[in-house]
Amino acid sequence: VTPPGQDPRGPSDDEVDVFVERALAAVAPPAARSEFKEKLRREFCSAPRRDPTTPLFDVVDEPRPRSKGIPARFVWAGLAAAAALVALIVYFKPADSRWKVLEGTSAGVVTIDGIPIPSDDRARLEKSLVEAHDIHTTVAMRARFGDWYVLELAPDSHVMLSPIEQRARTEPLYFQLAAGSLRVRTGPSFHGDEMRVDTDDLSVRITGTTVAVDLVSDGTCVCCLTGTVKIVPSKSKTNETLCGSGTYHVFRSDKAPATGEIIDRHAEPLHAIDVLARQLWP
Amino acid sequence: LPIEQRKESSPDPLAESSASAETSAGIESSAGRRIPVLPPDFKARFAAADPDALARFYETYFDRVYGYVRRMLSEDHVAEDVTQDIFLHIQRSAKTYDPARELDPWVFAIATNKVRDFWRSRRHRDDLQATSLDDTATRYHPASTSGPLPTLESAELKSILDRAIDELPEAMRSTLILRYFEGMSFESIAQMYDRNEAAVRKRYSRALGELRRILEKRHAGPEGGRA
Repeated sequence: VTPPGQDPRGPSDDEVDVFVERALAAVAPPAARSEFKEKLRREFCSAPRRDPTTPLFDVVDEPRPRSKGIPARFVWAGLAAAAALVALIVYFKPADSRWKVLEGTSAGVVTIDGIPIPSDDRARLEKSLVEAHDIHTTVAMRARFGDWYVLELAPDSHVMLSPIEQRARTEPLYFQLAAGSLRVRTGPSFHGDEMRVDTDDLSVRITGTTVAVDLVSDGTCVCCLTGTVKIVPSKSKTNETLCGSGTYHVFRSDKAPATGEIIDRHAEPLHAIDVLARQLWP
Repeated sequence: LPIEQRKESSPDPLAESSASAETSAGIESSAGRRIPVLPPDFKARFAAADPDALARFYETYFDRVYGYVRRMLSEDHVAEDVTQDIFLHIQRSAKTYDPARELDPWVFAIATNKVRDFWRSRRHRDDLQATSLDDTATRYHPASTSGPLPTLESAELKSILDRAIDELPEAMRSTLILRYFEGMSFESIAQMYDRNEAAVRKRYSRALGELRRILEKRHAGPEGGRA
């Protein structure tokens, strides 16, 4: 029986349940151990900084023996020059990134972790990709990660990832596609590795293939050109296997997933990166 | 997953929040936690890594961040590791902080990213078969009623609520904690998640509905009577 004044359909979607809110007052906030809090405070508040009154080197009571014939000012000048040289080498040394931006990347802006980078500044783009968590591109971007794989993002794609060069070998490469399309062609070093591409609708497990994941208006479409991929739809949590030339469409609505042959419009860009990968890894 | 830390500034999230009340000593969240109001020049001094500002920042945020992380991760030692990681990240990034931006979304976006990094490293997603922090659609079972809750002893209620919060899907749990316990405005939370405010309001409401469902289920017990 519905109490008087209560909507028989139950609370609406954004109605706040004040009774639960009131009940939450009984919940105390979790408290940290005081030793931990103090230890972290010391660490946090001692930001690395040099007191200007502290000399760079310890003052030695006994005067240091000087080398005969070389005045001290030349020694210091030599040390300063060497330090400057080292700094220059470190500064200009190219980033040790396995990312390489490839032909097929259109002119425009790629935003990595909130920082817009012109796509023609490849060195900077490659350097930024090393620790990238979040890539937002308004133009097509194509990049190669060592001999692992070629990654292509369609214009207006947004993908979040775990920094690839920092991951443990046992962890899968992980991408979350929030908008647009992502295409992958794996390379020879990928063997034995695993990649996961998640959308809100499904999770694609890749172990060696040419595959595209496209976010479309009514769900997510996975197109596999070669090899096989495993797909775990968010709703069913059961594994589906998609083989080469196949497509699998998961709908955001309750409609059952659809399978079929890959359509030309989705196959063409996959063929293109497949051709490119064959050139890279004959 | 990493959250886009957007650059546009927004009005003071706490001052706008209907779930919080401003007093002379600070702002009180719905949960009754007093959140100190920082002086106007604080953000600039923090961005300059001024030692006093860092100390003040730590005093203001430690309990909030730890509380958030602990509720998201449910294990003390893990929460400590992740909290440490968050503060060291903040320490390193203070100089890149834009004082025009609000602090709460910036701090909790970093915290959320670190929590997600931890889950990913533990394959948390696989273990829980849960939705991501950005997903609210699945695993939601709307509450059937909105009336008073079953009468429970306060200790029992606290214990049940603690467990019920732990059982919430991550997205709902995170929104509930930030909104109810940390007093953040819907606008700030939406800014953090790069979602619109209405979606965050809905998620918060659903979190409360889910809590009600869990509470009623617990109260009914396995055979339909009081457990």
